[in-house]
Amino acid sequence: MKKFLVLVVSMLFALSLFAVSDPSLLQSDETQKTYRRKAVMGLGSIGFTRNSVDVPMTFCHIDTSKKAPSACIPWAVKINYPIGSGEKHKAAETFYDWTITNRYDKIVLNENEATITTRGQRQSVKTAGKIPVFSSGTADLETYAGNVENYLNSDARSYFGALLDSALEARYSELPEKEQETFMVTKAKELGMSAEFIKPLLDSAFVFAAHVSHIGTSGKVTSVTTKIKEVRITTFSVDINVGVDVTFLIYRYNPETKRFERYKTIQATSGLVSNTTPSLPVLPTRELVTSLFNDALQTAIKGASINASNELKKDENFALYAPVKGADGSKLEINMGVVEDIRVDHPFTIYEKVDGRMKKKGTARARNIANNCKDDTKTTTLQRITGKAETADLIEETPWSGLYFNLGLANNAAILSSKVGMFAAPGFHLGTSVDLGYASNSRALSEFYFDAFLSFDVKIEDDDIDNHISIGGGIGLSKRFYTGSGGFFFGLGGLISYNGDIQSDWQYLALTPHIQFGFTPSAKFDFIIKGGWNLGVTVVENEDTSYDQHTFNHGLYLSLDFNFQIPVIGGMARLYSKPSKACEIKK
Amino acid sequence: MKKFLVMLTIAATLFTFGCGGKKCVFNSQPTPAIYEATFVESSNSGEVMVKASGIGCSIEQATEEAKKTAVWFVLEGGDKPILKNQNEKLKAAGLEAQMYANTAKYIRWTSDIKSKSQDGGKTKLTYIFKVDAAMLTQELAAAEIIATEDDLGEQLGLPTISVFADKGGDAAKIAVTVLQEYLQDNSYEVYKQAQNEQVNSLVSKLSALEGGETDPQHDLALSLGTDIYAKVSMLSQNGSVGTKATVTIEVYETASGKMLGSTTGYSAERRADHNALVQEAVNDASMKVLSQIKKEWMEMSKKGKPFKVTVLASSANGSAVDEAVYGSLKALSQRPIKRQAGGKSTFSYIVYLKDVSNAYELFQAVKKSYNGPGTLEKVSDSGSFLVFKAAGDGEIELTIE
Repeated sequence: MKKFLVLVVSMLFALSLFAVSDPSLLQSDETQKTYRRKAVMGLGSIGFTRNSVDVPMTFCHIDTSKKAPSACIPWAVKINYPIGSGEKHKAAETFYDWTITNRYDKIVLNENEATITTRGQRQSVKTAGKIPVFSSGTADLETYAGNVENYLNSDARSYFGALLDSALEARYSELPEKEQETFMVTKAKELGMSAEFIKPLLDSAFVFAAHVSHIGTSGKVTSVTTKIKEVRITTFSVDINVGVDVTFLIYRYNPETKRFERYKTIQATSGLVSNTTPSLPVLPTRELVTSLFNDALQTAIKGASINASNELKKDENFALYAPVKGADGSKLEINMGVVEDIRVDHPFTIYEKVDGRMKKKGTARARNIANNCKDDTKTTTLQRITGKAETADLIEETPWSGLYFNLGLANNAAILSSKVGMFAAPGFHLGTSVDLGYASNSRALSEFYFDAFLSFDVKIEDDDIDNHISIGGGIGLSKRFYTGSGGFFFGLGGLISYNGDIQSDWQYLALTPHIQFGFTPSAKFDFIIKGGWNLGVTVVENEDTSYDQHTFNHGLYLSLDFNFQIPVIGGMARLYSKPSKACEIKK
Repeated sequence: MKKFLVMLTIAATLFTFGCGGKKCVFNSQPTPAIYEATFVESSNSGEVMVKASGIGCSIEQATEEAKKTAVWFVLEGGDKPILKNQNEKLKAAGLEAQMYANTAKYIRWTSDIKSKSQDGGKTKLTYIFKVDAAMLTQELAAAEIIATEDDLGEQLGLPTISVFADKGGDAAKIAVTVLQEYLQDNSYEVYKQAQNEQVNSLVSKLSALEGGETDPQHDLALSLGTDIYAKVSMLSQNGSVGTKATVTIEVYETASGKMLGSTTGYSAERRADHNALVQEAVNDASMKVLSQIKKEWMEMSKKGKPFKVTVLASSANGSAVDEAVYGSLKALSQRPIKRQAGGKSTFSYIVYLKDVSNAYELFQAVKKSYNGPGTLEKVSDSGSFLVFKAAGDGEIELTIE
């Protein structure tokens, strides 16, 4: 009895302590912050300033039989290309595919119902009447933004608010950090969610809208005349260049005022996208050229959308954060994956709080992306590239395009059978290098880089005082293997390049297997030393004289390359696969 | 040569201290290295949620240290730790060391890491832990380290309590039920007012006699005979996303009507059924109320429990009875006796007595030492309210003058 009383009285004392419940105590601090899903609605269409585009054209003629540069003259007429509703719809689809990815709960206002698709559920609110559809129309940016705001704050807002309300529980249950075991969460189950949790969920609802504010175009018709066995043949081809600027408007729903407010405006750009018809004996038809234009326009929209998506990641609200779940050597695990739209090779920065300040500790890249659509315990594997990392360090997504501008200094030597000695061939090359793993989001292509370049060098003959200025270009493929924690890698690769001297004395096509040794201090910059051997495939000396491979033996290839990440991807957009739809819930 | 040796020594010293690096030294003491902890919530009657930090040379060491800090917090930290005074802490030192060495025994759940930083070259981690406070208490009690509570419990028992709705309509009535359940769950004896139960006539008359503004809940508590009574008021406010309920609980000593404490509890702002919000607000306040009651009750064990004593006499010998009863009470109490309003034949006193557990025992003690006119006969005793009369010549009647 005595012991029982002791316990009762003591327990009463002990429990009398425990009166205060402060939900903020459950939250992690900045060192462990985790991305919280946002709810995003796209407007279905995007705005265009004009319904058609005038393309100024140039005409160029090249006669290969004459050693003269091509002559180009501007055409007096501009060709007008209409931007049809189908093309506009396609552009909107592309834009929203790239900007409203899996990492967001997607809101769609259909005719008679409003739907929100969360990580694992779909919630709908039936509406009494027809929900008005937003029509972008054709307008300048200011008018378009006014129309969007008017639509959002009159037609859409009541459905939007009701939908967010109806999805609260589903969204709450999918929060990354809610401490299932705590009494407060039990209370939320029994008593209903508290404002502490509701407010951030309501505050995290956005509407994305886009307006194509500028379409830059140019075109070129090229006729080439070639003389083969005394017969002159002329072919025609058409080049179309398109570049677009897209204004990305982001609105945030204010649950207090129940109105949408402009949160941010992002200017996105595509860079230049070129498209060319095949060489034809007659001028290409208008249908063919229109199709060429449409393809270039859609590629440019895709490029601008990718750029917009990356610019968006610079905002803390939309970037991914996560604490490292586990660290084993250079292998790191994080509790994110396909649901958060992490792509293969995606770079991350590692942070740690040191003596009160968040400090950069290293970098890492995504390797094995978890399919965490249904099981949120699955982890994505990252490879640490630089610095150190351990459990509970914070990683932050680095906005990245996967595309580099490449500048290199090289010695591109070759021995031609008719010559003696070895060429020394100092020069430089310019080009782009794209991470195929990231662009195609394919694990099999992780750290495979596709290069395209133009080269300029001076071939110096051992026994000839005549030096040959050579121009060329080519493509390459290489695979990198990162090692250690200093950002160093070695790689194996191959180039196929064309070289020819400007006097047209000779031309050759070479295969260049090479090895690389490089350094990546950050996702924005690479430094690479390449060493390889040029193997001639086809050699043409003067006209009509060809040598077989025995006559073109080899040549030393050495290169010092600097890669600078560029956010604008231009025509390379074609290589980029869409964000994963692995988690899409079928209706 | 000598110069060379000196230089060599200096170089060696510089190398040792300059290039050796700062070595992380791990806490080898049984007690935690740091004492950073905060109370989060009580998950249930025996478990406490604590946010605690630990520091070490590795993640594993810092985690183990954080667990020690959590156990320390329940034992010694916070507003009211299990070990309340220096004496208990000294006695518990050995057992505490064992507890720190075996934290897994007391920690029921560990959260993900809530914070990580490098402080002075060491890793500092913060977690939320669910600590089994009941087990810690049990072990300390078994080791007779917190035995003082035992004595108090045996001497006084727990007070009897009545709870009444004050302002807030039906919501306040729900709050009363919730508070009553809470007190009962915590082993208190709760006296409930039956439906339409009225204040008994004796109490009504006495209240009228004492004059001034009468508190109907006080009179009801006197009628029910509880040691303590609580008045509950409810208020609901609409916020931006839901409703927030606020409950105010005032606790009084029944005998004297003295306020022991006042507490306000809040629900979170929720979109929920109103009854659920009331329940949440009362839950929030209940713990604070319990703490106040317990504190005051312990205080009473030291200074004396209050009794309200009312004596009825005939108007003929009223003053003699008053004098004799006052004398008897004075002999029993070490504290001053408070006289309340009295007339020619009815007298009321508030008296604080140690070692007297109920009104009947008090009556027996007064009767024993009484030397006034007539003999004392008990009229009623309930809780801490005693009414008796001095029977003798003349008719005794409770008259309001």
